Amino acid sequence: MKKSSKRGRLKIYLGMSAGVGKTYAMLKDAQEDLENGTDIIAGYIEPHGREDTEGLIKPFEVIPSKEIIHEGITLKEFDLEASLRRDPHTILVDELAHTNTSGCIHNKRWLDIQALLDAGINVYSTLNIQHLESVSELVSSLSGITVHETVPDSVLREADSIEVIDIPPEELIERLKAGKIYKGDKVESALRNFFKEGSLLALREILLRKAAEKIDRDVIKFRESLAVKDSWATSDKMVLAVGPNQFAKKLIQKASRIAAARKSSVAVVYVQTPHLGMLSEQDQLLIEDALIAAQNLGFSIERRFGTDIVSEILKVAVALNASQVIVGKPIKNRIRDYLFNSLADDLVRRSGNIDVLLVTGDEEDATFRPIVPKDKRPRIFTTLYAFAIVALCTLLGTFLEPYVEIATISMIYILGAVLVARRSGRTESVAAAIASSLCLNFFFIDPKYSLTVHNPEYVITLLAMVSVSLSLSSLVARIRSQNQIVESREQRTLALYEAGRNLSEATTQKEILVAAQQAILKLGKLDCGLLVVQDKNLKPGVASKSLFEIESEEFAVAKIVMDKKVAAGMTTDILPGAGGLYLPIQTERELFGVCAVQSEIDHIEAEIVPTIELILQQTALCLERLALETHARESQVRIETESMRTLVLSSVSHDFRTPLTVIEGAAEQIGVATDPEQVQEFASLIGEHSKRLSRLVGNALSFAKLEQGTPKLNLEWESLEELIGQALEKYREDLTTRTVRTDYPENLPLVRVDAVLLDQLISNVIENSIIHAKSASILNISISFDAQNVIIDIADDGSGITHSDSPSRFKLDTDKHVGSGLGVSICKMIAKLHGGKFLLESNDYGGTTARIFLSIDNAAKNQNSYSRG
Amino acid sequence: MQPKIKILIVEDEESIHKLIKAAVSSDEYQIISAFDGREGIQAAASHQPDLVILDLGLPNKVGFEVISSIREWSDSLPILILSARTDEESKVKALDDGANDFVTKPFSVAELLARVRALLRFSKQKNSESNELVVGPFQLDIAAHILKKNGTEIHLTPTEFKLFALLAKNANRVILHKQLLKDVWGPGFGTDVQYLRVFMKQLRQKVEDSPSQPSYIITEPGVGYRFKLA
Repeated sequence: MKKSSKRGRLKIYLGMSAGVGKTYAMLKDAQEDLENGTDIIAGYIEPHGREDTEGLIKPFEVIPSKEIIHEGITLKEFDLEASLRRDPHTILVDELAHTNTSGCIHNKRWLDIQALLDAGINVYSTLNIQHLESVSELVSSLSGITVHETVPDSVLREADSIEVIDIPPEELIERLKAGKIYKGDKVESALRNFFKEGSLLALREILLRKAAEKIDRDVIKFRESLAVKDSWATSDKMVLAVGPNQFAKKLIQKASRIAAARKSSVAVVYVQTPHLGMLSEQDQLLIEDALIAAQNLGFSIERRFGTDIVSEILKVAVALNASQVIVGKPIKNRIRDYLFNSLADDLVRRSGNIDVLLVTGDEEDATFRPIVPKDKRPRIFTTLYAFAIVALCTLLGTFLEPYVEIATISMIYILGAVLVARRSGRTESVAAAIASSLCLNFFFIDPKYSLTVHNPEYVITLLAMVSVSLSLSSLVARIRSQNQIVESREQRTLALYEAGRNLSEATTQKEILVAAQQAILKLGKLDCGLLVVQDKNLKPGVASKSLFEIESEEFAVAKIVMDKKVAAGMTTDILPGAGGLYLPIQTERELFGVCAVQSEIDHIEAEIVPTIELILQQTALCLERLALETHARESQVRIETESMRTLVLSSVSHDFRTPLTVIEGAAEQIGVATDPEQVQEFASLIGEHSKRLSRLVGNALSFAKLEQGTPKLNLEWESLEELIGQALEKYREDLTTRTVRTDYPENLPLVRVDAVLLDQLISNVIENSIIHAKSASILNISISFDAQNVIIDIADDGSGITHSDSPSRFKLDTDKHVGSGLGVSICKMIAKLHGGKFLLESNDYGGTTARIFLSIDNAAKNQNSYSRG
Repeated sequence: MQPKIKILIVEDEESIHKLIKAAVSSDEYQIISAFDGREGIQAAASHQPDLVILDLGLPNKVGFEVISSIREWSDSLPILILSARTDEESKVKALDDGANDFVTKPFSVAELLARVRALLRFSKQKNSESNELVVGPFQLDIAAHILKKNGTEIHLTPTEFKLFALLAKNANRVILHKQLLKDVWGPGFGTDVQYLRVFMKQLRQKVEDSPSQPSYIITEPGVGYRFKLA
């Protein structure tokens, strides 16, 4: 059977739990395929020691498992590389939800399977419904067992076909008891935990519902493919608001179920407030984890920054034209809700025509729990500072007591509270506020030196003071933390801005890469190195600052990024154990390189990854632009040389004919001639035209040689005077009728050129003049130099060459003068090879001047140093 | 009667054999023909020629192998190379390997014979090393470092004299840059061609009739220098 080059097809055997016979069914189907002649092999089959299953594997070719030693235990894993090498039509890989041991390419088996599908291999796999991401949480709450191994819903959604293996729970339990599923004591524990009839019933229901949903979706897809548009085609949108807590993931799963039922898409919005900017690492991880889960479910993610969570959520909802907002429902903490309004209340009030759906929360409404900012300053110092301020206020109050009222003294304490809040965290501020009130009471309010208060007026003063200092300090603390967030955002914005500016200015690959690296380093606490793709391999582009070398193992991660065109390493699904994060530098068309990012602290903050990705996107665009420019330039050159070649070849064939005709004719005439003088004449004709022919052949050969690509220049310090001198010597006899004048500056430097090529250039010019300007009486050769060029002028006074310097002139020339077309183009090529140019100009003598420009960079600047000894 | 001078021509083109044979006077030279490398090596050993004309682009064995094979048993047998134009690298390699001079194809027979005579004269001269040397209009007293042109003494620095003497002694033969540097400045100056250029300029100013259009000290681009004797 011929395999298509398209993506492979995935078939999933779906069951409610282990032991329903998924593997058995899969093998049965596979056997049928095998009998039909399909190239089907077993990639990995979980044995479980079940005899009937083992018997079924026998006819299949089996890819040997990869053995990985992990903490002293040898584990058998599916060998992806071997399977890809084997490249079968269809492969059986059991247990879709399996988590691979570290040391495998992917940390999840479903990723292995994606790779197989990408390679165009069809896959049969098995899956228990509880491993589906959107149901895992539900399953654990039903059965009390936490499901660790999950598979994104998208895998099931995108499967080409599913087969539900359904047996009644009673039957399953019977099979379990009969020892057909597990052996020995495992049966008992299984019966107690997972295989309770109630749990199984629930699982079966979920399974059937999921299967129905899947079929439903397939039907929709089918209808859409038939272009039967119905109400579902414009799918309805929902916005889910989550916060950094353990509830987030649960909300996401719930939303997924709701969305699936309503056939709507979900955007998850996460509003980062100033408080949230100070999240503990654990909370940070919680939210990032939840957002990744959301992404896996196919949700879009919207990160927003702001103080007003409700307005940010509503902004997203309006922007996406969402019909519904989902938030967690607050359960406890009613008093606080009553006093300050819960977020849900606020949302309901301000949501206008958008529906708000409250879904059950956990024990506590923790969705938007304000987080006490973590203080980075050493506690002792700030605490001492707070109490010192309180003491100072008390001291000041004592001085002022005779002159002012108690209210004024309380003002001093409030001032103190503000000072404390400016420098310390909330805890210190609260402590300082309480200490202040106690001091005020103790030192200044009658009865003095006791904490009792007689005058009720003072009670109000005290209460007011405490509340004012509390709210002030909390306000100041908030402003401060907001500043920090703004600062870090600004840092990111700045990095992006700078990247944009520097990248647009960069003109070479190196400059682009350096600009990208600089921008990424601006994000702080990072090190970054860039690798570029060269000849289908990764080569170092810009080295990292110093911190890390991309060693062999890490390099392998970078290679995976290059091959798969997705991010890998830290914080990703692929090889998360790597020392750094590896991101592709790519546009839709092409991958240009890999960016390796490593943190100076031990983890990479998830929130800067999108910024890095943005920078890399810009970088890739710049690299693409550069590649396109280079390509355009190259093809321009190719077109030019191509047209030149055609021109030259057509002229060459013409050029050859003239001397050949003369030689042939003259030779014939010699044979019949009787007059010795005539013979002499013909002989000299033959001689002259042989020389011409030989020159043509020589030029044609060099043209071919120069055309083949840049020849290796044999650069050596040469004296132009010498080279011209020997060329003149070569043509001494031809030049006897002319006055040859040379004019060289005294301090003429040596030049670094290829002597043979330059000789050819000069000789060509002199020869051209000899042949085409027969009437000429002079040959003036002068050399001059300025800051950029050394210029050789070779001038005659014969009416030689048509006066224009366009390529089209060649044709004219060659019709008129033998061989000059080829000669001139060779001159141009040689001058160009030396970083110079070759021009033909008419001159004051009525003749032609050939001007050869050579870059002064090739000239020896201080030639005097060679004159000694 | 003086024995004829034996010239071995190793060249696969028969017409070139014919041409050379026709051009040389038969009572002075005897031509031995070989048409490929192997034949050439055999003929060189069995006929003991006085000079070998060797084409570098030969079938069967490349020219270089013929040179090294001859140099295995004779250091003094002059070898003249025929080579294609613009192939300086192989010229230099052949000269390095032990060839004595080269003529670039296409060549005129007269030029070829001038080179042949120069090589034969040189191989004779070697046997009678003298202090006095006359080349064209120049008279050299090697021991006294005196150079006269048409009877007028030209003052040369010691280095210039060494350079001139080396070229004059090998009149009409090409001398590689490398060789000149080694013989005049010593082995340490290996590839520093810039010295050579500067001294050549000074030398030409003193010995040439018209220094910018030299007629005695001729540059062979990419290869070396040749003292040209008409």
